[in-house]
Amino acid sequence: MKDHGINTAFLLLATKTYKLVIKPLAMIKVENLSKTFKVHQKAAGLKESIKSLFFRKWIEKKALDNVSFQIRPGELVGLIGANGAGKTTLVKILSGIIHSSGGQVSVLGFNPWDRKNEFRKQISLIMGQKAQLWWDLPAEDCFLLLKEIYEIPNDQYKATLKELVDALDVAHVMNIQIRRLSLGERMKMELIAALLHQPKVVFLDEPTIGLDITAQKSIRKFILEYRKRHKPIMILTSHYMEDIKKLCERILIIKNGELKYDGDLNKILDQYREDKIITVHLDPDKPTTDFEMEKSELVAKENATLKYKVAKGNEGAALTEIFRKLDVVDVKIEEDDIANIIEKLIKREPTGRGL
Amino acid sequence: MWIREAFKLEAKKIISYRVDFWMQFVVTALAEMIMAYYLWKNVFSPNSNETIGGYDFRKMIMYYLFVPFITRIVQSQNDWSTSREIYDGSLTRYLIYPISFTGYKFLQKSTFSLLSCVQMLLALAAIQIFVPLHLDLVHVFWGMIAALLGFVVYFYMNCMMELFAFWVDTVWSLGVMLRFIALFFGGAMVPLSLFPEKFQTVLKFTPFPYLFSQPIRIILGDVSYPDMLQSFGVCLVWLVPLMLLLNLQLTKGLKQYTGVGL
Repeated sequence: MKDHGINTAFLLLATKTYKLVIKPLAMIKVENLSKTFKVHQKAAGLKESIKSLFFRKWIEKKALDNVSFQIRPGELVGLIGANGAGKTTLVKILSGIIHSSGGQVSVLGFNPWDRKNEFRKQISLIMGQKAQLWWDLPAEDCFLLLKEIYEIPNDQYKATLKELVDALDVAHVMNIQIRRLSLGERMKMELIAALLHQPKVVFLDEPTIGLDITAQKSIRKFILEYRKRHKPIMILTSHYMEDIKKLCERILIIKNGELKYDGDLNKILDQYREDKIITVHLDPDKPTTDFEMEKSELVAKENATLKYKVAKGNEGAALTEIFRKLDVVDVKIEEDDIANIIEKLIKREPTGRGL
Repeated sequence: MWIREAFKLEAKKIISYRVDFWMQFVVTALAEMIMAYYLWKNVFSPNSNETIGGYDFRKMIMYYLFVPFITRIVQSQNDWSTSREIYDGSLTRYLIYPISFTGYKFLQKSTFSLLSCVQMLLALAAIQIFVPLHLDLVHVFWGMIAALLGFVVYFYMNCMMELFAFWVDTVWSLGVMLRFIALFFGGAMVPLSLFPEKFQTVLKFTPFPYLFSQPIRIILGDVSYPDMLQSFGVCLVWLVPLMLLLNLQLTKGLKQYTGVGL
């Protein structure tokens, strides 16, 4: 009886702590968010085109359905989902570009689509697929304009610009028109433009799309360093799993507009990491013909290198069998690729609130 | 102030394309002048003091000299950039940055109009070297003010056409329609005094005569100060509903906006 009383008191205390301390800390609160788009539908052909002039057929497309989550200060959250899953719609709603069809959204205490200047001065959006800077102007001119738009004090502007320009190594292209820059340089300029006013919330929509590996790496490194120094909330959408793996601790998986998973990236990776790959290098001087194993499945063979897939937990038995049957020179065990796991996650509809 | 910085940048952009800025104007103005000259030369009887709609041949040519100048100031850049930015999603930047979309567009176009005023003064000074124009500088000043007021009115009308891009897939025809109506009823094609008197009276209640005809007539010294002030008043009265409608249209349009291209 006494124990029961202690448990109730503990539960009450925990609930109160959550309501009074943890919940208010959330700087982004999304409750039961929905978004429906009305899309005009028209069949192919001239006859249908003429018909659609008078009778338009509209269909409703649900882009987001009952999505709820919270984000606390300093978090870097990855939004994952297939094309058309609703990730970008979510980012657009959170940044105030489009209205929601239902539910509640609060970002830094503001309703995003009121588009108050105090709100807009504290957020920024970087779109890998869409330039925000003025194409006809050199970056330096764009930044000067943004300095005035965001009313950044002179000293702060100079210090922030120097910090960002040095970190991204773009001092030599500051006076070149945006349209004449390479994709990687343009993206770096977009990053500077978005961070000049030191926003509290940064939305990164595919920031590395189309970039080469070196540029991707340098952008990732920059984001990590910037986050360490300034600690803004960052919400990242990306199809590159390297981005997610390197940058995010928490992920939100969206499928067909529904939030399927909200939680720790590593936790879900462990949960869904079912297979491991064992790469075996054989002795080329001792030819073997029988590569089939009972405990693992041969998935690739190239010269004297073999790749076996083995279920999680069976690694020991599989290795024993491999060493017994083959003349092994070297062996390597790898985890299933993160991209494959995420693909599985999206397909299999995991559910959970791993927070 | 971001307005000052944006103005500087827009001016820099226009000046950096100065060959285009002048060529576009000179070619259009020359073509229009040559056409008007030969057209009216055939209409007016040779060696007579005949007047048509209150204009003799010299005055008619002077009227047409100012048409390209005033058209350029009032219509500014016809680059369809407002609707294009809605279609391609560039509008997003104005929703993210703490600035107004139509405010920025107004600033962009007014920079072009102000530079066109400078262009007009330079061109007039150049013409004056070869042909005495006998212009009163005070009239030219008020004519430019009238043209700039006409620019504000035309900006709102044109912007309203372009904002239909929120709802329809192409607004080009709407823009062309407005342009033609404004030029025709605004006196940029033929002086309004050639229209029947009753029609001229009706037109006075619309914003169109104050776009082109009135600024040109003010420059030519054909408008008394009370009439000029009255035309400024009519423009300001028209601006009130135009501003309200544009705001309403923008608010409704932004609810439709899907941020395509993002």
